[in-house]
Amino acid sequence: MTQSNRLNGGQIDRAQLLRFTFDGQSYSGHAGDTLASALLSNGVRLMGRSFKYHRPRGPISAGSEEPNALMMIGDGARVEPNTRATVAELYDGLTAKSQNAWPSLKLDALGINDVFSNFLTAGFYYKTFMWPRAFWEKFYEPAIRKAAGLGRLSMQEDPDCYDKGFLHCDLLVIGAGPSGLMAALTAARAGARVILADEDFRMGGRLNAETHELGGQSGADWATATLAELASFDTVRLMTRTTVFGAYDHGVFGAVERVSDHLRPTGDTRPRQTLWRIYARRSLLCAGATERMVGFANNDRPGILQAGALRAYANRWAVTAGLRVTVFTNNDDGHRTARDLAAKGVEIVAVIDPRAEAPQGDWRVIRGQVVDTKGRLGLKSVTVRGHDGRQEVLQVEGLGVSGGWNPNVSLTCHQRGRPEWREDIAAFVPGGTLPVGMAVAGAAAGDLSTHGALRGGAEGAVASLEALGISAKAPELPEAEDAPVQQTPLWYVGEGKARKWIDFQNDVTVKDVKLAHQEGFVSVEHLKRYTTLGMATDQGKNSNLGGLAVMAELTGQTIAQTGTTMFRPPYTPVAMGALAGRSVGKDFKPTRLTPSHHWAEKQGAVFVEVGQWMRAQWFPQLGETHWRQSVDREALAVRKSVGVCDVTTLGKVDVQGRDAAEFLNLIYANGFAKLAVGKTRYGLMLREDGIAMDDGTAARLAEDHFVVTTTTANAGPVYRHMEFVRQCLRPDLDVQLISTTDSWAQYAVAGPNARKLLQKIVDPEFDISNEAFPFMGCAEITVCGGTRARLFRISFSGELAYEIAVPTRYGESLIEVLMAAGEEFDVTPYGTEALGVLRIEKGHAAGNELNGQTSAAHLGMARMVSTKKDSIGAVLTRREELSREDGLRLMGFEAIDSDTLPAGSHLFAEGAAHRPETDQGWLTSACYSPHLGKPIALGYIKQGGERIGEVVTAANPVEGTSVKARIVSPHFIDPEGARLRD
Amino acid sequence: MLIPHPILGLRDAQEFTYLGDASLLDRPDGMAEGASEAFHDYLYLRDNPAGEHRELWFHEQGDRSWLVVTRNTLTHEITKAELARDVALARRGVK
Amino acid sequence: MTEYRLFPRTAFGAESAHSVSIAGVTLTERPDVALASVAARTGEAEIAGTMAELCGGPCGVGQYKEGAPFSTFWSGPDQWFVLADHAAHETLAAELQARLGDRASVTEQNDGWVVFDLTGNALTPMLERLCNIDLARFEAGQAQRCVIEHISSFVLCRDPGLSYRLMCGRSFARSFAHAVETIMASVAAQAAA
Repeated sequence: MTQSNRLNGGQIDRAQLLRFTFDGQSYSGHAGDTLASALLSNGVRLMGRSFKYHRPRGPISAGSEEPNALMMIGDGARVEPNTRATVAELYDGLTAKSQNAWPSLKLDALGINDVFSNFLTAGFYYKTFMWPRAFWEKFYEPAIRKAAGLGRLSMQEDPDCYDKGFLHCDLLVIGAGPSGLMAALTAARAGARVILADEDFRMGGRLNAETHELGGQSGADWATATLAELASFDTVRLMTRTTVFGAYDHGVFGAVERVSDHLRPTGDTRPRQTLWRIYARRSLLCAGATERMVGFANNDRPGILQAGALRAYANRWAVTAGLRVTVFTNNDDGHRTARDLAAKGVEIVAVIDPRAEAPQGDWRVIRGQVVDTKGRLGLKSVTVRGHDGRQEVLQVEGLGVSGGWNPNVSLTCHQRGRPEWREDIAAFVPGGTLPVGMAVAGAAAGDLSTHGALRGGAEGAVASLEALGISAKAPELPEAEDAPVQQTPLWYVGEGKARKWIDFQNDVTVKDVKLAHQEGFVSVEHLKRYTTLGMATDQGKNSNLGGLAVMAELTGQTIAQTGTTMFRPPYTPVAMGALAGRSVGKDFKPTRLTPSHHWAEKQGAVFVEVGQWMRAQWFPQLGETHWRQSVDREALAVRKSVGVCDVTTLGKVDVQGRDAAEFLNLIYANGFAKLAVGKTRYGLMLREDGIAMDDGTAARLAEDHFVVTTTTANAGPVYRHMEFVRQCLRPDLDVQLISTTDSWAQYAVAGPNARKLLQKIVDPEFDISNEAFPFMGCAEITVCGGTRARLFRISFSGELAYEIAVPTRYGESLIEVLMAAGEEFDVTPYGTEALGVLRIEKGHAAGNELNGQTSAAHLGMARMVSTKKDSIGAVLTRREELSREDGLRLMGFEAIDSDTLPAGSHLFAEGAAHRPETDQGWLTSACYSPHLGKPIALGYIKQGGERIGEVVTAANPVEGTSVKARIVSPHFIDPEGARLRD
Repeated sequence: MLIPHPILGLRDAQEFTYLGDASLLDRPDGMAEGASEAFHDYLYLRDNPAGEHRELWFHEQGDRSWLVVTRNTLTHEITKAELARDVALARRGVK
Repeated sequence: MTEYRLFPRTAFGAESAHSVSIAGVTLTERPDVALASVAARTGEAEIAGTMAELCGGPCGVGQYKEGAPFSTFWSGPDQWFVLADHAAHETLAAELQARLGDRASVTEQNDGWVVFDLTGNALTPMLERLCNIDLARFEAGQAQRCVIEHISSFVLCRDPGLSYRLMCGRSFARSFAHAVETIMASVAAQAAA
């Protein structure tokens, strides 16, 4: 196809021919085109179907506010639905498809909705699909969702990548039209650090779309020259293709830079987009204005555009929506469209203006209004009613409509801004409390002339910088158009029965607003939700004011009284991928590796994620086909001889200072003041409300030096809590804290042969015999000929056990040495599963038991809570309900005649109904005990201590199981603890 | 939000962890008469002002200081940020 | 005498330092750096003076002071990290404790953190995609704790735009290097385009 509607001039590179397809048909355009301008140049006006009625639609705008020309752009997994053709930059090889049409854009079967439009008015779904209720999920909703709606996702993984970043500046200028450019120039010359961001790929805003001159240059040339000067400052960052989509607290802004959306995908490592977090000491919003349409019968046909958009297409892109064009305007600006298009050789059939004092030109000016249009797939004619009552039909392909301009106040509302109505321009302007540090200039502030924009930008920058103590001088302003702007309202034309669209994207018409009013949905918020006005991807940029103006008229209120709904972020849609950044797939969160990780990999370990850590879960051996075989073997090996497990992941906090012992006495419920140097103690940490927070050990390495361990999961929160106690509660104590979790590679060496194994690697000057180094001992020693190490005689398994730590760089080597030295004992590495089995058999509480519901008494540790001292949580853990004798107790459970005993099961007296009121507790941790040869569990049950031997039912409705279990001591193994002390 | 750290200047609130009402600094004496009631009030009775609020923030991704931040809950305006340690020490001096 | 000996590995489980170069930017692990943290005991803030003697000058809030044999940076109120050559000062913490006595709490951090050097011709585009630091104001001799791709890190400036030292918890080394190298490749591709 040829570019039949291409005009002369424009800011496109005609030397570069770009080929693209739309719905399979090949077209060509030029570098500098958008997809919409290229399609228009090829005479294509029909670009989409509307959301609800499937009405044929073309673009109404030349910018990001576009409600109609939404397409799926790209191939395969890269298909991006709902992309606005008006901002999609053309590249060679681009493929676009229309959406919401079947079988084709021209023959859309669901165009039938349009015929039944009387039934599909606002609230239709609410009213019609209520009954029968069961039909909603199965039938109505899927059918409606299929019929309505926009583009489709590829349903494939996003093949692109996205970056994130942080930028800082003195002044963020949002929008690079005349006011934004002038503001940036003013600030740059004053030496300020400036970011100038614009969503367009070519900066200049309306200067690129207009023909009026600035200081004897074309607007576009002035913009180019100004940008060249700005680019010469290394304190200025020019960000094209960058949408500032949100204004957050204290001068923080969100922005998306489209890095390679405008390029044919190459598969290199460039991101598709970058999400920037911009910290601006001051910001100046120079977002311009959006032209508003007028509601008249059939005002949505392809070929009907904003007058300013028609002009932008002609001036910037050298295209026209049709060769015979008319303009319908109620303000002087609309007449410029006629002037500029006529200058490019487009036939101006007439300009229709309802005002008596309309300007005259070299074309016919009709005082009147458009009352109807014709042309199913594209505009063919408009019907005009003159103020004298005469009706006339004009044969045209293009109609430019201008109802005036609305300042783009969106970002001013993102905090506490509340737009104010300005009668002289019949529009809302920024009002209320703007985001901190924000000022507004140019058309966005309601200053609608070019001179006003330049002046506003310069003055805005001077004032913004002055607040920062940076002295700036407004540059001499280039001479520019300064016509006084007055706008009178023309929201819709009364005549005509056919629908008059207000919200093109959501198919809301004047009639729908009237219906909302009739049914009592008169507040703007109700209007929005009842009709879906302004809820589409354009977020009401085109439609909000029109809708509430109609409502104001119906309620007899002024627009100021009626008010407006607020704009929220994002200004335009933001891809989920941009928000996710690099945190996708296996990079969703960082991974921490243990010192033995590479060694464990070589052993063929199966790994499990524990928080951020990757831990070995078990180590399968040849011939083992089921995980239980490996886990049972590992657990039994520990009880029989010796096993080694990497426990580096436990949090470690170094606690030093003259008052370190007193500090620990406060954070632990049990006493620490008298712990001797060279000894370790189990510690129970409570929250202030008396619920168990964490447990661990504290080893006293010196009078003023402890090493505290926390559970793996709670390392961060416990450290934070300890700092809270240190800084906020007891700043008088001399105590210093620092995390050392990663500093030490720590292994549990457990089993009857643990000592014998360690004696082979501990340097001989350190006596670790039972007498010299008894249970709960700790010491700083050396191993393997002088390597610094720490040895703790603590046990999680109930066996004779130690934990040995060396500087992490020696950690991998240490496990190799332990394996080599332990060969004679058949030493077995064990993973987290066997670790769990061993601790359940021993009855040690862990994360499942410390679940934020359980007090010291529930854990059976009430007596540990010292009454001789003040400690966090001690007072409230003794509350009646948390400490009652007949309350929950941690007990052991053995399955009776069952090969399973699922954790999470709830406990009931035998024969009792399984109901909440008969619920007596629950199982927290369960495993198969290879030692006992049956499933066992830990759990909480009421009056547990008095019920040993009783048989209860463990019911798990989720898994559909109900098992008999006997209540036993939670210490399945060696309840006297003899093995620990052996 | 940006928190004006008394040592480090403006820092993004993302670097901080929030705890809550700064009245948590006034922990009762667990060994005193009536400790049970005192702890009940300390832990559970909080004002929830629409307006100025003194609250605790921890600079976890920074210098690990706990701060007392005075923030307007309606506007997010932050009028003051102090080291909690200094505030706590000053209070102890008063007692 | 035990016959067994322990051998060090890098944070990547290797025998030699991890190092990656992309388009003139290099990230190199520095396992040869020893580390210790020093916190003044209550009422001993003047140990800053001793620290200044040890580390070639005072190191105030947000500062990084390079010296020989010790370098130091500020990590919190009355708290510093000290860096030294690992081969000569593997027991850095003990050395410092001996110098500072009971006026300070010293903790061995040799293997708590992994140190990387990041060097190249224009590092700002990379770092602004990694961490929230106002790089135009981040001068040689400054240090800041920050988050890099969800990982708590320190960034030390040696030469703005050209040379930085990055630190993260040792167990994060692989994820951290992956995050930095991903951005190295991204920025290189954007610069080449």
